[in-house]
Amino acid sequence: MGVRTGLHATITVSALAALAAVVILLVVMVQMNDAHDMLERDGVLEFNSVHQTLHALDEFSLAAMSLRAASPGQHQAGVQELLLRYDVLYSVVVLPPSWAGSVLEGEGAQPLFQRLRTFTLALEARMTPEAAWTGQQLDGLSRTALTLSSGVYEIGNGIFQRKSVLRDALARRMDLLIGLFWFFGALFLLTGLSLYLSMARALANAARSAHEADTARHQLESALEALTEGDIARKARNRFLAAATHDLRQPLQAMQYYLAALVTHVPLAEGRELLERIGRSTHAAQTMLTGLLELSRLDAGVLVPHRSPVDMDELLQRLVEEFAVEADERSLTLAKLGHAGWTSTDPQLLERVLRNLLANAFAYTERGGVTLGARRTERSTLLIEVRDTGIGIPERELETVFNEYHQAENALRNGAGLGLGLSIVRRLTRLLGTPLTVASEPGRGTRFELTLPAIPAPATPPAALAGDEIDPSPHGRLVVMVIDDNEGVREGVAMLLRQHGCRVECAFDIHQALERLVDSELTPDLLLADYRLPNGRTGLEAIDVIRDELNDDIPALLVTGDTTPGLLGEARKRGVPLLHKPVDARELFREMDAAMRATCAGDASDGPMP
Amino acid sequence: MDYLHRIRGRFRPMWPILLTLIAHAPLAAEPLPLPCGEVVLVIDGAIAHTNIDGEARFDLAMLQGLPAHAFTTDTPWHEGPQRFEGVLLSALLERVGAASSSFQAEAVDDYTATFSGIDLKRYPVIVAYRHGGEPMTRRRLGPLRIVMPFDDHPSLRTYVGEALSVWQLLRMRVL
Repeated sequence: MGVRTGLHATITVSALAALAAVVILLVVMVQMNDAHDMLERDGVLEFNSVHQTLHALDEFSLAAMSLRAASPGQHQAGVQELLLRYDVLYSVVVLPPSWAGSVLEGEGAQPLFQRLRTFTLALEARMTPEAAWTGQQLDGLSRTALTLSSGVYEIGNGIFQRKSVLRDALARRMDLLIGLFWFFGALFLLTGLSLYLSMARALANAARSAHEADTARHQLESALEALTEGDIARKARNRFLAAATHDLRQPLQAMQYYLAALVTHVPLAEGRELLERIGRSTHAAQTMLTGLLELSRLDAGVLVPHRSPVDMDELLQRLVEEFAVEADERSLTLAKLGHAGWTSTDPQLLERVLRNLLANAFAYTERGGVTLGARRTERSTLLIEVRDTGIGIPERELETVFNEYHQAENALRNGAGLGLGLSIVRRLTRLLGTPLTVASEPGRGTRFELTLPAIPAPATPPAALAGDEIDPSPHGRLVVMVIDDNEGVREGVAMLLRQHGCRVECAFDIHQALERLVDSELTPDLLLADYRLPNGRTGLEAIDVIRDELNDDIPALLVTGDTTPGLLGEARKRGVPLLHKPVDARELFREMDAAMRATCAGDASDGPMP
Repeated sequence: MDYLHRIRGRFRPMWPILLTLIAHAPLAAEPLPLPCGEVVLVIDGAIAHTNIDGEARFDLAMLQGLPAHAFTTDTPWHEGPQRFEGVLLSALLERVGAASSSFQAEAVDDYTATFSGIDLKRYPVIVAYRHGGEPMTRRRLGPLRIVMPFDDHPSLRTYVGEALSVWQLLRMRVL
């Protein structure tokens, strides 16, 4: 800013100096013109006339005195000289007044020149070679001529004195003007030079900037290249993860089913507690797998948020209760502060965000606690913050914490997981269009803040989500066909379903499924197929084959441990709900209900079946 | 200011009175004839042809015998346009075999001027011997007078041109 002001000042001074120099130059030219006019008008003419008149008079006087003193031998020559000098005087005197310029305007000039004229013309008749001159007469002529001469001299002197005074004044003025002209000219040159230098500097700076920009662009390009390569590496990793999670999910899925089924067979409290612990461990493993799966799904872009009014206080309270157990176990405080009210968002996705943030906060906090805060700002905005008193994040890592597999160097390992939490959070908040900011002070704690729109509470709260308790009654009498090549999973599901009153037929591939249909002579109400089946067949194909065989659009569910994004899209396109392993029992029954309902609705619209 | 100095230089009087007496020298074998009447003009300096004492002396008849030229012009020294007739300065200089067209002009009233820088081939400058059809007396700025065709060639109408318009011309010293 200062540099620009300086430049402006320099330009202004330079322009003003140039302007002043030009104006002064104009004035000087006008003055010179005036002086030239003045000198041209009268200087030469006046000098000429005064000088020649003076000279003629002096010579005439001299000739008269010479004749007076002449010896008789010199008399003739003296007379001739007198006549010659008279002729010259006469020729000057009779010239028109314009010849004398402004001499006649001088003080006393008119009478003097009149006297001169009278004196000269009066002598005209006597000026012949024959005329005789007395000494007295010649003395008179000489004296009169000298008197007139000194008169002319005085007038000329006056004129030229006046002129020289004028000229001096003019010269002084010109000197001043020329001085000023030089001053402003020099100022102009100096400021111009300074301008040139600063412009040269600016140009050099611009060139350097351009060079830097070029370098930065090259760096960006190589960074982009590296990123692209990184992207390729990530894709490869994703494929590996998809395969790995698939294999991990199978036994985990089975374990989940067996555990759910086992609860009813364990009467003792100790046994139930043990089961509870096993369940927690399984849950932790499930959480990790879920994280990987979520990332995969988010990367695939198949997740579409469904917005609805959400009671944030209820949601936050639920989360607090959920994490209270962990807080209690680790002697950390957990508090919900402030009143949140309602917002509009996808409740499930937001819950995942907050759960991840809370899990993260607990993972990196050893003492102190975690606060779940809410406040509404004036601009109808709802701010939700998750604050902890943990180890904090160094400033240079504030951005990278959102990358996959990022973990604080000295992370507390208890339940820290794979470090996927924040990268899932980042993807989810982007998907929801919810700004997420993070502030941290290493050693003091970290604060994540979500900005949500605040809306007034709806008049009628939306229907409560499906109750926590599984109502087995609707599932009774259902015939379910389970197709899965993994025996553990297959039997686990079967056991779970049977517990809830379903009749279950199991098959490990398409061929066996068809055999079972023929053997049992039963028409299944629902198909539950694993995506990957032996011999490269898929669950979707199995569903198609069975529907064809029975000539009925039996409701079907696809279960998979595969996280390949393409599969999600395919299942969605075919309208077959997709469940990811490990499938929670509750989720399984919910999806079953939904599938059954959808088919019933379809039947109703098609009219009663024969 | 400087200009005035230059002009003043041109007006520098020459105090020694010029002798107008004519010395009668024996005839030289020169193509220039001897003057018969009163000598009105003397040319000396870098000239090839002389008649008396290494000078070229002219009476009025000799001058009138040379190529003449006449024009009418306004001058600062007369009221209204005047007609002048005389010998072409270029013809006069050629007649005496002048080495150059620059010369110092001297007048009866001691006025001197260095005549140079005027292209005589281009400008018909004359040494006039008639003014208004009449021969000129000394009292009328004669008998000889350098006159410039100011009206025909306005570019001559400068101080230099006026300063070189020497009246009562007596002598020319070719440089």
